[in-house]
Amino acid sequence: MCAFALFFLLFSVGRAQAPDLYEASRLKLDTILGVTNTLILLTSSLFMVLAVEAARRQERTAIIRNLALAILIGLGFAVTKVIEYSAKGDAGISLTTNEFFTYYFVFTGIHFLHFIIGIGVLLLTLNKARRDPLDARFQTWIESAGCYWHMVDLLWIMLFPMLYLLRAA
Amino acid sequence: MRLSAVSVWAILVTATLASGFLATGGISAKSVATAVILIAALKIGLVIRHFMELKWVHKPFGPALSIWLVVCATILIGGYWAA
Repeated sequence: MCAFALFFLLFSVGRAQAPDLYEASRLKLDTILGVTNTLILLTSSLFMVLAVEAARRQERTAIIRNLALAILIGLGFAVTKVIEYSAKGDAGISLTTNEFFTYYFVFTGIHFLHFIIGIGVLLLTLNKARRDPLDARFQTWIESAGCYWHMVDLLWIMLFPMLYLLRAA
Repeated sequence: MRLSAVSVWAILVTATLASGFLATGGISAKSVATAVILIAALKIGLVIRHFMELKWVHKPFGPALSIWLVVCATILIGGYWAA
């Protein structure tokens, strides 16, 4: 989280020094995909919350269903990210194109790595929900998994406007 | 006030769409930048308060997250206005 605060600072300083470059680069991003990614993560987070609530009621079927939905919907984020990265590649845009895109690929790439870890944690939680007793230990596990998943969500919530929505003054 | 998860999700979705519309509208860039960062901060506040289960974690974690949020929003809004 502190690393991302530092990223925001680096980006803000870079943007202040080269506003025209940042604005021209920002216009090459697809805002619709940015909004879509945000909605995907928010919806996946909702099903994670519903899974935790079901765990509190010890309803195994509801836990499994909601976790599976959180994972399936969450995977949509990976699909849109691949589409977005591919489109940038096709347009000849890479990590070394300019400072904005270096930050863009590094920040979203590190966030994506956290996302992949999150999907792994959710898959592990789904496996536990199928086999383990729904006791206090499982409750702590699923709440921890949910906490991590929501952190992936909230980092994207701030990355999205910073990269896609801040127009030049 | 404790909102249901679905109500919080509906607010988050509405706020996301509002940010998207604001950014493409004819309002001044500085107002839009301030608004979209404040909306993002509000959304994160909602996620921390209503989605994250922080009861079992080390007590300072919740306040630390709130401080992180204020610092990040200040960096982004301050950096934008200073440019």
